[in-house]
Amino acid sequence: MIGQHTTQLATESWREAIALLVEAADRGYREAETDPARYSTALWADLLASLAIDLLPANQDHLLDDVVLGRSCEDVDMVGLIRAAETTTRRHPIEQFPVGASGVIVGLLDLVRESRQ
Amino acid sequence: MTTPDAEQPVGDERSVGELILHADITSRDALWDSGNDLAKARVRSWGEVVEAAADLWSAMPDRLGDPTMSRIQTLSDGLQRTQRATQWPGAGDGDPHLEAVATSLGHAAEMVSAAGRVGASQALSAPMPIDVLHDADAARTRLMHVVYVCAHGVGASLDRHVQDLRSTLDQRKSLDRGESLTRAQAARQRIGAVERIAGAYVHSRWPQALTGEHRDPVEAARLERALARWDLQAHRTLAGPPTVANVLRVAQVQKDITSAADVVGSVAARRGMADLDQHHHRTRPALDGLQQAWDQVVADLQPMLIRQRRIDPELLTAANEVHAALREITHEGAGYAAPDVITARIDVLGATASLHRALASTVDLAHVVRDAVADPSFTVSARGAQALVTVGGVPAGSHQGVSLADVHHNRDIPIPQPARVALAADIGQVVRAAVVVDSVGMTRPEISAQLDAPAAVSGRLHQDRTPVPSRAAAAQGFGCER
Repeated sequence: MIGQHTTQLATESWREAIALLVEAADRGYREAETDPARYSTALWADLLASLAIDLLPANQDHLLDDVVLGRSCEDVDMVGLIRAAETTTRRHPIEQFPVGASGVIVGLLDLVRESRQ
Repeated sequence: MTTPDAEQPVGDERSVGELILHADITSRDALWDSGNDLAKARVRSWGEVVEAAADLWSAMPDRLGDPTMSRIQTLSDGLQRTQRATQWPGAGDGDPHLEAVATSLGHAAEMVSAAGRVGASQALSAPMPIDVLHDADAARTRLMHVVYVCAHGVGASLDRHVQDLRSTLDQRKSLDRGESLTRAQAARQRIGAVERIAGAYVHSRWPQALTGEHRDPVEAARLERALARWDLQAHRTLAGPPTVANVLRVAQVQKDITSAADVVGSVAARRGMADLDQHHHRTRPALDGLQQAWDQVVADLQPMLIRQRRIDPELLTAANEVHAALREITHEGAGYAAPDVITARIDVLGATASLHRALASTVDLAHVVRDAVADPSFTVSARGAQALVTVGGVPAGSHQGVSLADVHHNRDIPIPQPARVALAADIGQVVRAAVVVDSVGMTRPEISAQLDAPAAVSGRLHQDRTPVPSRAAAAQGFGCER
């Protein structure tokens, strides 16, 4: 859902945050093969990504495939990627993100806090 | 722990918009912080945040007279009156993050008020190059987001504080001087009301389940409700046009439920509430088998996700709720909670029974999943389908029901028959593993005694089902049944 203040640049950052969350979930699922407790955190990241996708216009889903994550993400674990997703959402003021972003960001902050402990 | 920039330096030339942005970042830093004993300091500073936010709100141009901030201020004033009357949390340091937020917002309020006094165009021009006051609605959204994040941060620290007090009471029967479980709980409820009001303003659509993942105490009926809702919604969603995203999410959540049953069941066995030997030799291997079976289905489906990857919103909400209900029992931070912590949180036998009831319906759900992927409209990515078929033993390059052009462009295509067969065989393994889990759960007298009210079954009973053929057998007829 796009609001009247939503900007193109902020929407691109939002997609990047989604891509980071999806990558965090994938990495977390792999890490769960040796540490099963991580599965729940990976699923949480996955669910957050789904919520974040839901805020974007449905006809733009294909643009998610165009997001390329930097090489700096290659050696980062699930927790690092979750933190990177949250940091990405700091690039723009909240009103420039899609409507409903506040709730996803708060959820993301909870995920950061819980996954660091 | 991050250190906030609490002081506004003399000659600070940041704009109002930048100051609110600074408050936003600082409030987020507070939420990253997971240290102990933050709650009382945050409750002390909370009033300052609301006061500064209300000052800024009232200084900004207001065409609509939105009463949201007034409501929040009224609630905050009431909480402060209670704090003075009850001497809780008492004197002490405030929270540096929240104080920094209040300082930024207070400074912004002064700037806007000054601008109002001397003329907006004159005062706003030089120090406010990208000022959000050009759009007061945007500024209000930004400000209310700060209040929302701060309220959530105070609430999260109070949740932890209440948990700690409860655990102290369980161990020692008394609290230190100046501590009060009742007052901390009351403060949590009142801050929670502010969070909901602020959240509604910023159009938060976040399910309550995840913003309150540390409900205290764990509500006994929550798990049962969440599982029942999930089961019902999964059946409803899969009854509609099937998508890879929905089926994948069902498989992932089912694995989460199975994993939680393993964790909680292990605690019950270790605490002598269930037969340890039976748990080790029958229940645990059965649950492991079911997790692995779901894992395989997830591994099959993940590469076949198509560009349309949205989840049915109702399914997503149910998934969030069941995930949060499980996590608040099984996890402490990133890892599993210690057995005594889980025992203190919930009636372990009751939770085990709820989870086994949920797993009993897995058999039926797996059949529904199999029906979904057999639907002619089930669409997958060409490359994912080809990968699944290749892994299943069909040589690459041979006819796999996927054209080279489809693979090259990774088109969305109806699932080819060889991929359908491979997927169906793996779902069949879920059915078989679920039958084993169900039979193990039902033979445990401790759990059986808790299974007094059979949950409603959404489809055919599993004993009425035709046994699922192996992958080789499935290859002969599956996909031609509809």
